[in-house]
Amino acid sequence: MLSLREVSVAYDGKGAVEDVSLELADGEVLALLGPSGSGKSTLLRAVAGLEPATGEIGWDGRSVRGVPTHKRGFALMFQDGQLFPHLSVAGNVAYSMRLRRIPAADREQRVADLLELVGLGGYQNRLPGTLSGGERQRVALARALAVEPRLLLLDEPLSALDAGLRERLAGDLRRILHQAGTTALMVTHDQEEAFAVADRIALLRDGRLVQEGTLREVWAKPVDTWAALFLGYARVLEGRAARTVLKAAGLSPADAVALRRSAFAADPAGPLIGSVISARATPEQHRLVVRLEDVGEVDAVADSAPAPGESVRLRVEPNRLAVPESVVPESCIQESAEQPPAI
Amino acid sequence: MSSTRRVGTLVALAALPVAVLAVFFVLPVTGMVQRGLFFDGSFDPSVVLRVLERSEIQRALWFTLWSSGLATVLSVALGLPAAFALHRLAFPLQRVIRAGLLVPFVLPTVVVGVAFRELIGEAGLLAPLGLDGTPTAIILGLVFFNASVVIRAVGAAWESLDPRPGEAAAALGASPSRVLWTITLPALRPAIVSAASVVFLFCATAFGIVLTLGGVRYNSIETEIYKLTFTLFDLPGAAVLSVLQLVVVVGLLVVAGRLRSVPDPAQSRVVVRRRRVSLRDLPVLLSTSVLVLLVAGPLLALLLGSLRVDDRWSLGNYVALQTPGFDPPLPVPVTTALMTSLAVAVQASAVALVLGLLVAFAVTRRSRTRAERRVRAVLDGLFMVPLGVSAVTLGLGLYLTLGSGALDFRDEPWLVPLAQALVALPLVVRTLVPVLGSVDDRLRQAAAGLGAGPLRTVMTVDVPAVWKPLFASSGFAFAASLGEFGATSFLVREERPTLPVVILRLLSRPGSDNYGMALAAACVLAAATAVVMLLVERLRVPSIGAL
Repeated sequence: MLSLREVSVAYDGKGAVEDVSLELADGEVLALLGPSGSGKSTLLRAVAGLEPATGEIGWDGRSVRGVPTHKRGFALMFQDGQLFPHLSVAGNVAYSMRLRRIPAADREQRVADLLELVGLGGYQNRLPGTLSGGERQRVALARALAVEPRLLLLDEPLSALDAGLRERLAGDLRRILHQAGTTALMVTHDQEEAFAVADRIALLRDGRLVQEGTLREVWAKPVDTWAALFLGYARVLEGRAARTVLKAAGLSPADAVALRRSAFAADPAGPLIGSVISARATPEQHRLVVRLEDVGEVDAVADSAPAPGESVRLRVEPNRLAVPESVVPESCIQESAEQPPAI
Repeated sequence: MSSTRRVGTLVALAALPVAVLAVFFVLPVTGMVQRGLFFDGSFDPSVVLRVLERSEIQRALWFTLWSSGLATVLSVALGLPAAFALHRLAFPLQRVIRAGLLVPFVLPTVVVGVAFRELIGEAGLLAPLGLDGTPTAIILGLVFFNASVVIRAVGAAWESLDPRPGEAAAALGASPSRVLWTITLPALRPAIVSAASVVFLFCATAFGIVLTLGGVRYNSIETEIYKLTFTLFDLPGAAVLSVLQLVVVVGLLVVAGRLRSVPDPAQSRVVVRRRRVSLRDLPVLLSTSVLVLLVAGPLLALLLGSLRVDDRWSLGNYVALQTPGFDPPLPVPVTTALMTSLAVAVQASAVALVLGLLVAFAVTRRSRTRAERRVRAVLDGLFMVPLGVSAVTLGLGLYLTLGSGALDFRDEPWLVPLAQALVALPLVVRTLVPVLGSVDDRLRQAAAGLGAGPLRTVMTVDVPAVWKPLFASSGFAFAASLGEFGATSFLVREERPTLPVVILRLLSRPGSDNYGMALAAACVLAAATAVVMLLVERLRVPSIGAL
């Protein structure tokens, strides 16, 4: 079990990671999720022993302070794989086994098994330069798993790949990690990637841990409005607008509400009324932007497409919104506005 | 642009440099080949064999090989730890030490030779070690001169070497030394191989160092050529040796080129934060300190020696530089020789710059056809050849072929600057070509698409990219020309000697007065080159000096 207690890392006196405490049980996959500059990669490197950190980093109750990277037994996989270009695929995967002086025959067998596991059976003699981005990441994963690490550290393992491949590989990654029973700590800025691979999520902002929990917990109860937006909610409403929406949903009032794109649905019997600003057809349904009285612009879905300017009644889907525990200032929300579109 | 116009531009750009190279490089060198291998119009291998059978020639050949090899190994062994310490670690005084360790790179070989003599010679601080006139002294001199080449070439590669493969290996369980052997050194191999081959080349063609430190007992091919020409007047012997050297050097360059091009060129380059030193860096720091001592020792000895007259502190040696010296006097005062050197260097760097710029532009224009591409590649290679031909060979070739007939240029005052320009030309081309080559051609297309004509495009796209390297390489050519000695010693006219030539003459004369003046003159020459190179260094052009 990995345990972090009040871990901090500072560059030139400026804190990149501040007082982060976390626990990670054996066999579990935890995603460190945060925007760029949130300190998530720095934290990962500190765990790997590549950055000097204060606080306590422990494994099974024993501190790893002073233990150099190569003796920690934590394998590290980088965003772009970092395959050794002068070694073949087999040479890369077998690198750690060579270090442990595992006999050649066993090594070959294990390399073949690992390549099979990552879906690259028979790739032993290829050179990294001849592989596609996805294949390279698979080799990097096999190489890291070959260590039989106590803990696998993944630094943005899928970010360098294009969207379709990323989705496919995320599923594979989850399957492989669970099959191998590997404890893993993954850094990502992409909430979809985190949801696709991890069991639990730790949300970082400005070097601090803002929320931690299972996927379901975090998604259902974002700690604040920034977290809601970063996790993939489409809009956050505050103040009177939030209270109006919550009342229409039959929920108790709060200062803010986070909405998914499908939080409103066109319904002739709906309690809210507004005028359509725009309508766009998608393969499954129509997506509307509607201006609601007392609320402002919101996203909604509809089975048929009303023309812009028409008035429309909306109902609220209570299971497609969440009530953040607190409101954080605009300045923090700005950052997350660049995040990919909502689920 | 139409294809005829493109080819026309290529021809127009390349015409002048090619003509100069043909008359003042190819002609002399082939002329010498002829003289060495053909006698009375027919090829007579027995003459060649007779030359090669001579014991002093074989000694020189063997000495060149083993001393250069050993010096190369030592330069790499001392240069690598220093390159790491200076480019990957952070410690106080680092910038000063780095600049200091790079100084020998540009010091004229004559100065280095004098500095070593001052340290280990009869009256030197290390005289009791009895190194004077031994191969050890020559090899130390070569290492002194060439470790900086290794630091420069490998340090630049190491500085931007992506640390993540090493970190990945460490996370896979590799110890630091394991990471060094299995990841870092393989990644640095191209830089190390090219540095080592350049160092071997410099060692094998080192002239001034061997001449000043080797005395009468030890000769390299290079000094043997010089002695055969001027002491024994054995021109065929000198020509045979020059041809031999040419073959060996070109062969070496080809092999080095092969070795260099093997590994994956797509190494990622990144900006790396430097690590503070810790206890485990002690071996590296110790090795760097040894190198610092090796570099600082002779230079300090030179400086201190130049300030002593008759065992007292005095500026007398410097004052004497205004005079033609003592018994027998030089043809001109040393200060006049300095002015001559400066004037020649200005002319030489101007010529090298114009020719280099023309070549660089001709080589880096985009080719549309395969034939065109091949022509540009051949041009590129052609202007590298002067690098492979030792300066002494070039000087001798010019001396032999331009002395008669229609090409009787031997006494022309522009011959020395031109020869020096040819020596410096590869450095200029090597600095400019990577810069121009790295300009994305789409930028030029974008400029053209916005309505810029060819000249305007060059002004908007190429000139901003190239002006800094241009200054840097002209400074480099200037420094190289100031210290140039190999070719100059053959071509210089008696009444207009350059400073390095004067230094060597002073050294070859008896008397402490002459010796003191030589020390002072060497200090002046060293200071002049160091100032120029420090200015060049400030421009921070990465490709400078990377051969």
